[in-house]
Amino acid sequence: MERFDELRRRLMFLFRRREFESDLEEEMRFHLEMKARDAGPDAARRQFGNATLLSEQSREAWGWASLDAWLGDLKYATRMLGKNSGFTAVAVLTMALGIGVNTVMFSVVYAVLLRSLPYPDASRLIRAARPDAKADSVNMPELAFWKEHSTSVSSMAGYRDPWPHGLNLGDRTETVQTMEVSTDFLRTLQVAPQIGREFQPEDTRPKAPRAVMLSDRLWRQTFGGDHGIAGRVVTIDGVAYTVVGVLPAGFWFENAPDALLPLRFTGTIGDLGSNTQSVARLKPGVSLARARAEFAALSESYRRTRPAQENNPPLTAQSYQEWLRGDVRSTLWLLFGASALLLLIACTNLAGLLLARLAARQKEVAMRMALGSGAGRVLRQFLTENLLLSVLGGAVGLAAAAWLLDGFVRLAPFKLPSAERIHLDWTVLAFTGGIVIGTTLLFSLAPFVNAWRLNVYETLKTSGRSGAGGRTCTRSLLVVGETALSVALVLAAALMIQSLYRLHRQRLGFDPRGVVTFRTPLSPQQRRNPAELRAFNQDLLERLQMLPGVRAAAAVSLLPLTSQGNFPVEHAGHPDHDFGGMEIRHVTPGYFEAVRTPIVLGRGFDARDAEDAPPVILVNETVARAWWSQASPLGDRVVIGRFRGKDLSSDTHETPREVIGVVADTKTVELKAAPRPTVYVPLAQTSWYDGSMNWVVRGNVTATALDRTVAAASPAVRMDRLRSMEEIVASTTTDSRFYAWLFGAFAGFALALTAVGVYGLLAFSVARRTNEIGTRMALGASRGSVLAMILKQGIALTFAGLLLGLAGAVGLARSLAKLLFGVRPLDPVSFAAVAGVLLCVGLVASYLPARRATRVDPMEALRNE
Amino acid sequence: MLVLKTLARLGPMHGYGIAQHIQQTSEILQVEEGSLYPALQRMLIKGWVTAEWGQSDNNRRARYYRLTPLGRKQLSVEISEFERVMQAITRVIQTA
Repeated sequence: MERFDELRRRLMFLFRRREFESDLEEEMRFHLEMKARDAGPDAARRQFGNATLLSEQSREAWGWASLDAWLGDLKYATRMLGKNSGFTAVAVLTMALGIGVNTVMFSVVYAVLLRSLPYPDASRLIRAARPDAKADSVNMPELAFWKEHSTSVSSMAGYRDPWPHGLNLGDRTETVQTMEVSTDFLRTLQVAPQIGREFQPEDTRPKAPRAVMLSDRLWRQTFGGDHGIAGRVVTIDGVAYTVVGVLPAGFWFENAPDALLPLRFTGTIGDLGSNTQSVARLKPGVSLARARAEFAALSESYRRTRPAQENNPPLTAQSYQEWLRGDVRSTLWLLFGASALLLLIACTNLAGLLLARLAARQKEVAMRMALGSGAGRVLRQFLTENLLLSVLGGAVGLAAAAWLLDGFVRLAPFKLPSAERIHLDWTVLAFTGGIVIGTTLLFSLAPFVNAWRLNVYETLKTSGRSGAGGRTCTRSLLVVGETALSVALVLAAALMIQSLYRLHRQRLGFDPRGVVTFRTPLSPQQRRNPAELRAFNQDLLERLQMLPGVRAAAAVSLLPLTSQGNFPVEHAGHPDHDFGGMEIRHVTPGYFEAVRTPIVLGRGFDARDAEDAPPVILVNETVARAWWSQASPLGDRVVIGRFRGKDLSSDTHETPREVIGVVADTKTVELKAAPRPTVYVPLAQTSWYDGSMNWVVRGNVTATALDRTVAAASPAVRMDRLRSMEEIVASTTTDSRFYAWLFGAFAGFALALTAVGVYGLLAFSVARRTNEIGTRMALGASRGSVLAMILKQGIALTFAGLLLGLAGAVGLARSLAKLLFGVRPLDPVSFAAVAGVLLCVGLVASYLPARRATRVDPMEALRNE
Repeated sequence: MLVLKTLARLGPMHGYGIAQHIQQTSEILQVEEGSLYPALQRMLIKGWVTAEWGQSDNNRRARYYRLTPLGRKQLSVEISEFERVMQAITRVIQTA
């Protein structure tokens, strides 16, 4: 309490110091006057003592002396930085860049990797997984078995990937992402609905009334936050669902679903597919290791109880949180590392600049020390100046980070597992503050060491600029280090850019230029009436083909580069011909002409292949190679819906189809992957297909014209997902483009800083060696030889850094392997390019100082001595 | 201690008054009078005295220092401490 009072009084003094000082002064004057009256002025002054010293002591008693001194330093520092505005601008911008980039990266790393998921005790959530198998998910019987028998988890739930559905709202339809979840889903996450209840076992029975839970966003935006919504009936894709609850605000789950539907046993083959993800909560006190042991035992007994059913690999337990972060973790740390490297380069660069400035200020420092200032006091002054630089840089960097963060998060090609928007918060500010202080210490280190060794006497003794100036050895080391660090970033950029280039050179198998695509989602009537659907498709196709400006139009069930299927297809009579699962595309005649995919053998579909004509099929080159190798597939037969001799779909009524041609391979899922085995069937001959169609239109046509055409074909259908085919292709290279830009920008900054470093050092060295150069020229050295001398110095520095950097970059390049495509981490072309670029930068940065050296006038240089 | 004692005996007093009093009563203690002021600042911080401006005897503005209860306690602590030291010194001198 007393201490606190004391502090309060001290603080009071700080804020009302003028008053206190005038009080003290008046009081002392009073004392002196009284004394002078009693004993005479001289005696008064003699007995009183040194008034200035005493008032200083009085002030120091309040304990703010060091603050005073520091404020003095700060004032001086501000003046010094203001005087060298060019230097200050470069330094502040350098730091702002380093700090800004790191702040952005840290915000993302913190939000994605360090902060817990928004569930209580999120670290106790686990999932069942098959780490070694391709399919990591479970099937419904497995889920039921685990729910029943696992004793290490308190609850367990299943969920499937979200799927877009149309929420019918009177005259319009809103596309919502719905996710099927089992009972206990929210209980496992320990999240309570804000309205109503979560799904109960009766909601999941095959014939039960359909139930739905809404997300907070959907409830607020579409249903106006109606508190009586529980029990209300909504229509999704023409089917009635009863709202049973609303998820709490701030709830987040993978893929951010808009609505939850109960995961039902359908009693069909779908239940046996490994298509369900699981999440479970460990019982208190149970470790992940124990859960793993139990899951292994359960896998064993599951297999024993159902020997005939399957041979799925055993299940094991893994942390849900770790799994969710798995994808982005290494990438994020890599980007964070790259930004840290950039900061390090910025620091090195600044240290070099400061050394140069220190050399210029040596006289001032020596003078101050000669006048009795301790080395510590001088260093404190420098540290204050440097800290001021960092703080200014940090402030600018933080402002830039706030501005850049949104864009970064929007463009970043990875999902961020977080409900909230990523933003700058106190933790991030603390981090930024930390790096401001850390970097200050770092870039002050070299100048400090130099200042410490300053010999006052020697410095003051030498006059003129020729003798003064510290050794450039430390600075050379800094420039070499800076260059080496840049090499790493430039190499990363080179590898990324080359990956992007290779991606763009991939053969697509179709020509996306000048093609627009859109989808026609099914209307509720069409869903019930296949005949109407077929009529609509035929009608729309004819209308599109007749639109002015349209050169070709066709429909396909799934566009290239948008999705991957897994359909059972068999080479008739060869159950051993097995891809595991294939792509099937339903197309209208003219599709291959519209997207310009060549038919390499036989013929494409045409009007002959009508509903009642003999069933036909086209295969792509991948299938033809695997099933017929050198022979011609024409005339051979393929069966759809059959796999390893078993009919898997009872509802298709397929008979073997005759192969009438081979189609060129097209990229299926992404540019990086090889084309998948694909078969094409005429839409007219697959009456069982009841999905939405995607339309491809080649030619000059406006969105309005397309919209009007669709409306004319059916007033109940609204087209959606209108985009050009080129957009679709571009969307598959987003990540490569992002990394190429990001590392390219990093490399650009690093190169610019390196150039500044080399230039600064050589310019300084030339200025210092003016006399020497003058002498050389007076003794007959040619301008060319002087130019060569300085250039050689610059190239030597760059080359040393380059060698050092390339050696170190080998390790870094390996860690990039995951982000690369078609280029090996130790790609010699990239390494050579990096070497070339750096030597060029070194050469350019050395050329200006070298040219200045050749302009030295020998007479003038020597006269100066 | 002397300052506190003076304030305890005379009540509120200004710096000059305190210095005068200490000199008059002790006669032999000669100090730099000015050093009183840093000492008073320290006591203000500790909360042993408070200060306020008032009228002096000759109608001038002067800062009067007043002992606080905390200061009174401090005075008794210091006096007992001083007496203990004095006793010890006395004992040493007597035995010699």
